[in-house]
Amino acid sequence: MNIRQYRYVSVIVCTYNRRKIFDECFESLLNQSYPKDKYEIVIIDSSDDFTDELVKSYQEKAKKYGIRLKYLYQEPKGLAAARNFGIENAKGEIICFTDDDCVADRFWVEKLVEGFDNERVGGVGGKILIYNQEGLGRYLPSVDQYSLINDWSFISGANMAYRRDILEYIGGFDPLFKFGADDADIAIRVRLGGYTLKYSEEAVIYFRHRSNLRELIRQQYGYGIGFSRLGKKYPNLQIRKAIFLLLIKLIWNIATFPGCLMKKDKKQIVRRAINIILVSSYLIGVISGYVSVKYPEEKIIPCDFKFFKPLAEDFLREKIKNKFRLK
Amino acid sequence: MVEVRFVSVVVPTYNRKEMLMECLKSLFNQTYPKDKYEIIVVNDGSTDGTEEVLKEYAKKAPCIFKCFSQENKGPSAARNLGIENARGEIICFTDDDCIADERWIENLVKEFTNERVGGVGGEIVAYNPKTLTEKYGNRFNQRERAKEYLLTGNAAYRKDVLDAIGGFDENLRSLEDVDLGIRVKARGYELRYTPHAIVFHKHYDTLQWLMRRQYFLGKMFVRLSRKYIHHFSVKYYLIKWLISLLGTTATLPACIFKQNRKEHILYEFFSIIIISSAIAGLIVGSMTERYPGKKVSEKLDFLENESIIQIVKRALRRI
Repeated sequence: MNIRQYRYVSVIVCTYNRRKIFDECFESLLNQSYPKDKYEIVIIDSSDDFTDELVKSYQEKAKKYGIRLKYLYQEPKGLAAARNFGIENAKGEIICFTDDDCVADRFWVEKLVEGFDNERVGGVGGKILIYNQEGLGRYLPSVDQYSLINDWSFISGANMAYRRDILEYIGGFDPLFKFGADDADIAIRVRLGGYTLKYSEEAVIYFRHRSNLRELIRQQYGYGIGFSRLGKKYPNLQIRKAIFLLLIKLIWNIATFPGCLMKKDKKQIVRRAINIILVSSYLIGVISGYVSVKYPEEKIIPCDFKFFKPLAEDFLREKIKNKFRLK
Repeated sequence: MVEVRFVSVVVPTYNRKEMLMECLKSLFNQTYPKDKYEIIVVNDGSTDGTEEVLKEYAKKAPCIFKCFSQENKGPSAARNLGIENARGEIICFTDDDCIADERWIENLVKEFTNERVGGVGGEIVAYNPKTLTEKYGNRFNQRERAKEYLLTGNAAYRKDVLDAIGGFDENLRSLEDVDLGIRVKARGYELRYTPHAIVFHKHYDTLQWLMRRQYFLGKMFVRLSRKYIHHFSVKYYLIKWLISLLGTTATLPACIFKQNRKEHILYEFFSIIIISSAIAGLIVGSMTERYPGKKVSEKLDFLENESIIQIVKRALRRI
């Protein structure tokens, strides 16, 4: 190996009442290919069963690997607030975020950091794959991070890394986003400063879907509300247009549903049915958020959305054209 | 701990009551410590009842708030009046049609890291763009300009530097920021750019306004060139702008093959309008304009111009 300058990295994970799953995530973070003395793990725990003994057991595990671990408790105030608390306590130049229900690939940190290859790159996101799982999760598609970054221009919170100095300049995550869309908000504000976001194919995170339908619906509903809060913060996001598009998508899905009943593949049917349920719960979330959510007036950001492709007319037209060409 | 420096924010205003209210609201809501900054609004002879608005806002202000009035003498004179009455170590400038991000002052001041930094400029972003002119007709790119000068919509200078060079040039009604940038650099200070200090600017929303503005800039450019005897030669810039006009017109058809062609074509189209109205202003100005103040006959080595041949070569390469 040639002599490379490894930058100091902090990995921040926020966990809330998911002890069993979280242990697996923690193990995977300890077992990274990045030099052990060049990264630290910061865990913000908001669980109910938090005790000092628990911290000790985690610390011992980390000591075995020789990795610096900060295990901190914060009262449950939402994901954004927990992440901010993590940033305050992290000392790395680059900060990687993942969720407590994910498992990191061995080369995850290394490949994410490699993505920061020039001055203008503000944030890097990696690939998200489905962790082998039982239940309904089998029927759900994975998150397409590539199109998120290039079209929607935000990075999913399950697999993202930002430069610490930028995060400090823009003041970290917005704590008003309690669930959902906090990652979109931070990406928009990073982009405002002229920085670009980058997709790294090789930084892989394995990701679990919620396994029962009720949880999934609740999650989508939460995301919907988060999205409409985003629309309140950025008035040019055209939230009404987004609602309209979602409605079209839903109607399209329902209208073509009978067609897939004819097919032999029974999995397809389940997949489509779940898709319809989830899209509609997301839509309900967006609408109810649109009606009820209020955002403090002095914090509204009136910027342009040139980099937000899917709501631009050209992009839509192309997409619709492609859809009909295939049929 | 770094000591928190006292900052003055100077805002000149002229007949823009509505936007001024939003601007002041955003300035009241800054993350910078409230007892460490003051806002100075200079009323440049407005006639639309700006004074009442200012009185009303003076009561609401969480920080020190001063108002001054003068006859209508242009933005440079208004800013100079503001500078005279400011007591901050650093003076931030913004306009009445701008809205500052809540971390604006904080991030601007952070960039004054050493003695050599004379001024810092931030990013200017479109505020709620709706018309096509607003979207594509703006050229407020601070990043590219920051080497030479800072747009006063989003800039901060050290007070002692401003005092030493005597503030803005009151004989220039526009382009006073270019002039100030040159004089700051002539003293050996450097200008910096930070992408994190963001100001949302309401761009020109009608084509007529944009053209009139560019025409006016062209005229003022002549005045600037009369001031600097050895620089900004009118003939040189006329040729330079004509070449770039020809270049953009020639490459316009090629935009059809690009991916998002609508944006490209509109952008180029507005470039042509901007350049041609500036050229018109330049030609008219060269016959009418005169610089009444004291002229500068120094040769400034950081203002090296490219030769015409280089410009032609670059334009050819583009085609």
